[in-house]
Amino acid sequence: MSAVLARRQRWLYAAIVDTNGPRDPTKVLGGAAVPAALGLSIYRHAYRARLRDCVADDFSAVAQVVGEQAFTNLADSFVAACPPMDATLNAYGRFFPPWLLTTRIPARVRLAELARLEWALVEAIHAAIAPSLNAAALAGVAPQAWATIRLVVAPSLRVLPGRYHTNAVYEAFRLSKPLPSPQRKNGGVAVIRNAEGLMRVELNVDETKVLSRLSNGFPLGEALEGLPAARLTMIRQAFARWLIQGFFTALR
Amino acid sequence: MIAPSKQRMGQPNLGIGVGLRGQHYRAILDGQPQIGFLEIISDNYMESAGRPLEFLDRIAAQHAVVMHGVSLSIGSTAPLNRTYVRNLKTLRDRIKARWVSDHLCWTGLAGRNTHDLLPLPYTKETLRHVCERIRKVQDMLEAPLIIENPSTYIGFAESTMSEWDFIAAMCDRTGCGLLLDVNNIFVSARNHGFDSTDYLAAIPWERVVQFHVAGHSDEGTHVVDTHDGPVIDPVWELLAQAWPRAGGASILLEWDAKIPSFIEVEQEALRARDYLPQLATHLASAHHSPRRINKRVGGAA
Repeated sequence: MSAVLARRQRWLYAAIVDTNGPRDPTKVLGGAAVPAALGLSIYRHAYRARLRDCVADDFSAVAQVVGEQAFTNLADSFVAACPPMDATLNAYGRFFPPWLLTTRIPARVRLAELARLEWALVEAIHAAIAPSLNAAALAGVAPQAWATIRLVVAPSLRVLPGRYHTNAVYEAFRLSKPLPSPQRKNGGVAVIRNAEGLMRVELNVDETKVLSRLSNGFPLGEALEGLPAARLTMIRQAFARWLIQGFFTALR
Repeated sequence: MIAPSKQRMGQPNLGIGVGLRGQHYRAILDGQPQIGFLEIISDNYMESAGRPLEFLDRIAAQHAVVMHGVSLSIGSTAPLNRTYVRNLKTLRDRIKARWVSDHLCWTGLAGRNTHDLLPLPYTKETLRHVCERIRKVQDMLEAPLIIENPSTYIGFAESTMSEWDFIAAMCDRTGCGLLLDVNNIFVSARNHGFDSTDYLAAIPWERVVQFHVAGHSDEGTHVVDTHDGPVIDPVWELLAQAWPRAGGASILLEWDAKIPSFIEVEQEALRARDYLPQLATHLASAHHSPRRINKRVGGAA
């Protein structure tokens, strides 16, 4: 590796990424018709604009909730706090929802929930569609084995526990309707991509708990632990819907 | 004049193509594109097992595809990202892409990435470094890598070579191919104050596998390579000077921002025929089916 080239690349990286550019770029740059400071400013601007656009693409509902200028400021702060590390930008947005929680912006928990939903949709789009669990496979499970079976969830399934009516906000955004006022709603949302397309499924508290446990590899018996007997029928019905929607792909 | 057997390093001339963009998937699959090939941004499909790859599989089954990446970072002093190169090869083999290209640039340091195509100082030291990495990539790909000339806005005081001499030496030492972006030559000629004919005079034409054209933004004091509009006449004219010298090679229009309908992008790409009469003859024999107007994507009868 070339030491001189490495030094030059460290200099240019800092000149582009650091909030304040170098004092006198002409010490390093020269030979172009465009003045060095102007040429450098093109790269400095492009770096921020590209990453800001990337965040805006993935989190357009959050952008609508906070407003255009506030989102620009938010995205710029995110880019400064979390410079990209990966070779591609495909997964850059994964850092945005947890980063929102570290900020002092108003309603950050609510916004982070919405951001998490948007990111789950991005991940689901990029996940493969796997064949659904065959009903015959379930029918073959012996009654005494039910408690110990584990279900393999679809690659695109994301279970998002939440404290707000996040799915309703996203739905209004998607349909270009006025955004509803923020409301508390304990429960969650499941995101999945199946042969029908991309789906968001509202979950109540119990459904969220059970589905989260199943997707984390808990055996069925442990996933249902602590659930009042009166709720089991409701979970059974939900389970039947989840099977049809392709939440599970295999038993193990 | 290059002997036909040596033209394009043995690669086919795919005619006129456009960059494949997500908003055009349906139009391409449902319509009957007149273009001869599509160029994908490799990076958009390498970490995905989902919908974009499903569309790409279907499109690649019907159309010739070439791969163009933005993150190989061939000039970086960070260690070569071998996983990235392996992923490139896997994707190439999956979609049967005709070739793999990336830029003469660097994009980041170890653990940090700007996702921009950053310029290199053109020195003997840089040349050694870049050539060594191109050879490694070619060994992994088991095929020549195709390198594109960049558009740049700064130069380095320590540069001892012109970009065109650097590229000629790079091609000579590594056997790599060249994706000659005539819009980038135009942009850099303005920003650096050189004459594009000097650039073209040094090109090893037998290495040119593909051409790029694109729109740019003229800011008066400088030009920015924005890919957000039609190609201006001087860029087409530059293509008209360059194309015959390579013995003809695949021409691709890049349109990456403010992207219009597929038909508009396609029509812009096909303007190449106005500047290259010999190409029009070639396409007339290659595409004999009548054009079907696809109203779903905004075409007018």
